[in-house]
Amino acid sequence: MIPQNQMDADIHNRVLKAVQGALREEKVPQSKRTFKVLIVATVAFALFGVPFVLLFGAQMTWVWKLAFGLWAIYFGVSFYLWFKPQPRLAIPGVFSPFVIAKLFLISTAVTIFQILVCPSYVFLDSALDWNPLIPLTGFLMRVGGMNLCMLFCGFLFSAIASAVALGSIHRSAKVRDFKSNGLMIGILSLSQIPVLLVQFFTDDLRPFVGFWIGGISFGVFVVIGLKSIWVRIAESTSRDRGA
Amino acid sequence: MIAYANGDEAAFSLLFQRYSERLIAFFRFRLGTRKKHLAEELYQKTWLKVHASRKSYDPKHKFSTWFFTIALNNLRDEVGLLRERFKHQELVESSPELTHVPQKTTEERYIEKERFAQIETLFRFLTGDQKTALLLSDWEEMSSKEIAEAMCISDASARQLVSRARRTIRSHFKDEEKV
Repeated sequence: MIPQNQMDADIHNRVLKAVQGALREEKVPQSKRTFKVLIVATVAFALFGVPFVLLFGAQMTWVWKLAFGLWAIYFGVSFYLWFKPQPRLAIPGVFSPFVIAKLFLISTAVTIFQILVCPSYVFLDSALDWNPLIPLTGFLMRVGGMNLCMLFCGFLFSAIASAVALGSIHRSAKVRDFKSNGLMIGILSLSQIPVLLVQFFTDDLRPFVGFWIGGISFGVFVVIGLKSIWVRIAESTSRDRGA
Repeated sequence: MIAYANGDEAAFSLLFQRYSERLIAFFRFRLGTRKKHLAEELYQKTWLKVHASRKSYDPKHKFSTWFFTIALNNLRDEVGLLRERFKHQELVESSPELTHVPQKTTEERYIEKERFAQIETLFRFLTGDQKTALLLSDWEEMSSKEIAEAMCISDASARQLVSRARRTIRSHFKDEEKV
């Protein structure tokens, strides 16, 4: 057969270990796996939930509780997909359950973290008198009022969450076909749904919900678009090198 | 394969040892060294698909036919060639004997490297179908019936592809000798 150089050895070992790992994971009883998912999801949820309650406890309306419920489900689903027995190989265009889990989990976590850092985004008053984005908010309010502020914040927050989440799966995301991009857009948008619900069912926020949706859609699409351009450049560069 | 399908790690290791290098060589010959990265991606994707569909393996069919059908389907999906002709089939294989693959000496590896370069040069003159058929025939030592099964074509077409590929290579080889 073909001579086995170091690169071949690496790739062979990676595949061998991934499949052997999957076979070992399959031997773990389902009940044990479910228990693990529940424990990890609860811990992750508590990590974000406790600061939330401490900082904004009194302002938690029914819609916030609904959003929390959705986040709990998101964490549960993500960890379920993460712990599912599977060969953990990151290949361009292959969205294995663990890749989807990573994308979903990171975009959700970053979204929650952003609200903790900048609660004025969803009209919450933090017990801490600290918000690093206040100067930016003030500038946007002066220039274009609340509409521009909501549009830009939606864009900025979703773009950051999408960029961080996509960065975590950069090997798998190294594709630019319609189906893969659609899947990534769907997952990234899904993580924004709880915040959308809060916006929609809060009287003070409802008039700006359209701007906010426009902003987050723009943010997600810009990040996916930039990623596709990067993939195209990488492809043409490797072609030029004859790789 | 049956043992692997039932979750036996050692059985998978043996199967992997036997087919791993053959698979990557197949993709490299088929795609050429310029698309080395694509060959490596397809190699990994094929093993993922083999793992995912291992429960559907039917021991009545030959393992190599089933295995290379998955590889060919991956190749077709990726390259976008032969879309209509290669249709996914549940092919499977007769009792595969998992034997130990002996380690190669440095000399053997060197000869293989030389051989790879020679074959790759000659492969430039072949069409995609001809490359695939010739690789399965001469490299994988599959019969025309097995090639036909893997490529979803008739037995006669498989034989014709192999014969044309050999003729093309032979004529170019003669031309080079004259020069």
